[in-house]
Amino acid sequence: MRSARSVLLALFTAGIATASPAEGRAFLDKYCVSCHSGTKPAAGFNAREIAAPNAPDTDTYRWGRVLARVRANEMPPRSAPAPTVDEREKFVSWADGALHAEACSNGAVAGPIPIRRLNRDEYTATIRELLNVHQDAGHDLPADGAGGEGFDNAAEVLTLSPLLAEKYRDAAKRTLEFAIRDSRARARIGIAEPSRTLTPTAAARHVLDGFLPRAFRRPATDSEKQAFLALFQAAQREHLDFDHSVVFMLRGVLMSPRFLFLSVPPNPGAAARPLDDYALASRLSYFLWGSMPDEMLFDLASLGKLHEPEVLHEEIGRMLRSGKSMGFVESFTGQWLGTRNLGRDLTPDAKLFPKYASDAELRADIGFQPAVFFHTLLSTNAPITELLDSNWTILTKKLAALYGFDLKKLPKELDEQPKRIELPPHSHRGGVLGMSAVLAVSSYPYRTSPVLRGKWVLESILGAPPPPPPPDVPRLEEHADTQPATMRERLARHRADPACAGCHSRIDPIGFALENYDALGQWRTDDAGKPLDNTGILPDGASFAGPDELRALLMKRKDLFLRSFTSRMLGFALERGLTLKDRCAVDAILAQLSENGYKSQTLIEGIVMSPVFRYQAGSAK
Amino acid sequence: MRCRVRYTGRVFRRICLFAVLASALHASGVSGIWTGQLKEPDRDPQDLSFRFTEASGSVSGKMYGDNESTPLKDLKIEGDKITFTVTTELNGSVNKFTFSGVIRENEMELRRERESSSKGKDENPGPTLVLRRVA
Repeated sequence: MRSARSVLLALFTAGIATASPAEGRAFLDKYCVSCHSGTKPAAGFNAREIAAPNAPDTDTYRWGRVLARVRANEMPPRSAPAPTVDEREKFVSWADGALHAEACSNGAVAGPIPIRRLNRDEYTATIRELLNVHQDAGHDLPADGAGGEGFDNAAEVLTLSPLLAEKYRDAAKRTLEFAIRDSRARARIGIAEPSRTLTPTAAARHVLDGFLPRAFRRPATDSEKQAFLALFQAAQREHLDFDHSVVFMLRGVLMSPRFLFLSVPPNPGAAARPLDDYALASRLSYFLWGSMPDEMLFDLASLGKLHEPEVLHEEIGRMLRSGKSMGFVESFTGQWLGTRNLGRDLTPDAKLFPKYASDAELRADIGFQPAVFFHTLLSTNAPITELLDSNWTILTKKLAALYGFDLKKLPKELDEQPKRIELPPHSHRGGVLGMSAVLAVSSYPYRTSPVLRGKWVLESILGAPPPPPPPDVPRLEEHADTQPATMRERLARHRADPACAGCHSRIDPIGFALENYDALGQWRTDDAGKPLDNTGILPDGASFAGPDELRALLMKRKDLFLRSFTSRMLGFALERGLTLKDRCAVDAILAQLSENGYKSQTLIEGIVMSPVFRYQAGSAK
Repeated sequence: MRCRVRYTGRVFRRICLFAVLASALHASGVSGIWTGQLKEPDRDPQDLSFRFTEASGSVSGKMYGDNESTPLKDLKIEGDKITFTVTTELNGSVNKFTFSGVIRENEMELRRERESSSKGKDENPGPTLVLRRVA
């Protein structure tokens, strides 16, 4: 999806600007062929010979690389003549659009389902379900990095190094030794006590009969059971007692790739095929719960009914209404909005924001607000567009005080529990843009940053992050030290540099509109002792003042947000980065959303019912 | 040969008749997974799901839970009437619920009545729920 960044940025700020095929080819001739042609073209890429992006035999991989490098200002290199911003964007828009049209000529089709490890959060949640132990089994595992569409469940990053395998081994050992002493966990594991009529081996076999299918998330074969039973027998030969022999056996299960990895059997045929019901159950549960399937999903899979559209429809509703969906909501919103970093990589300055530093409840309320808002939106099937602007939000007593609400005038009495509250007019708190967590992660710890906030809106809301700044650009703070000024004045000096103006004329105005919120999201009307100027003008002449008008502008251009949000959610659901062909699925889901008033459950259902979620591509050449 | 063809045809017709009867019996029976929402005043609707299994002329069942299922007890089906009980325990508090109602093809209309260990049977009529067979 990132190949569309520049196009979206242009669409948001200046309307559609697309090169004609002749102009696209002329761009290549003017800026690329001097190096990328002849008998030894640079990087093996011959710009004269590559077929047009919408040609049936075009090299989509190569075009993807061209787009990525041109879009990121990496090509042409600094030593060569550079295209203007408009030329660059028109070229990217043309190539991107042509590739999209070619990729979608057959509609949405199944893509790859790469094998991947359970990430730390999924491991913790799965162990909790599997063993009924309420401890953080993944506490000592390292945090997983983000990949794919920006999430830590992406297959691209979920590999297993020998060092990490040792960490998983230690986690399994520690958790099982706790579980074997806990009556609830013993019941969940299905520990059978040996007796006169039940030999220890038969009792261990009984444990495996119940435990292994749940751990592997599918029926286990006899040979699989036999392999783990051999571990039990080996432990018995070493004179371990029954319980410790079972622990040794189950450690083997929890270290098995069939438990630690999510995978589907390979599809050797040429044609795509539906996932089997057990694989579908896991796909659903790790998408909507971040954990293993429950007993009902397993039962539906065992009956071969889960794939039926009516059953899937019912299950999506049930799963979203379940409290377990908070796992999905917290993970998705925290990573989509970047609010997961609050209190980790970024903490508001304790001297400037003592309330935040001293009040753990307030910190928790700020952190939970976006996730509870999104959970409420999903469970009430409210439109996705309410993430941009809404006449309600989630408040606690402390959050309401932070936002300056008169508690007596709010329609509900507030306490420490988060509640949905209908907002009074001109509250400036509708949607995610009025939330403290969002405004804090798009600021520095000690001050706001229109640049960070503008970039945040372009990236998180519109899916069009600006290209990275050119090298050797001094940091804004270095200017600030020499001459005190308002943020707007300091940025105006920054934009005076032509090298910066191209992008900052689009980034900064969006950030200016949010300047009424301080670095913790509290409302303010002045900056550095001067009245605050919250106006902004985009290069296409669109002007606005303050967050409410920015919200209105974003709502007018909601199609960009919906495409970006749908792409991010699809990437999260598929647990990998999206390919060019996945964009056809995004198109189909967007059409359904439009027909159904942008209802949030339509988005989830559209993703689950899409061939890219339920089918597996063939692997035969 | 003619005789053999006639014999095969008779067997086939009997198999078909048996299949139709078996199918009708299944459709009108209770086997399967049923789901519905319990709606009570001033409370969020609560999803409830059950699985009924018929084997060797008897019926058993379970109620799905967040973590594990609970077996249905005292399960009785007489004509289209069904009753059963579910006993749950949460933080040491034991609650017994009686479900009773009627089965109509793929729908089951039930009333849930609560009997708590400390207060005895609730005097107010319990909430109703409509279960639909999903599988």
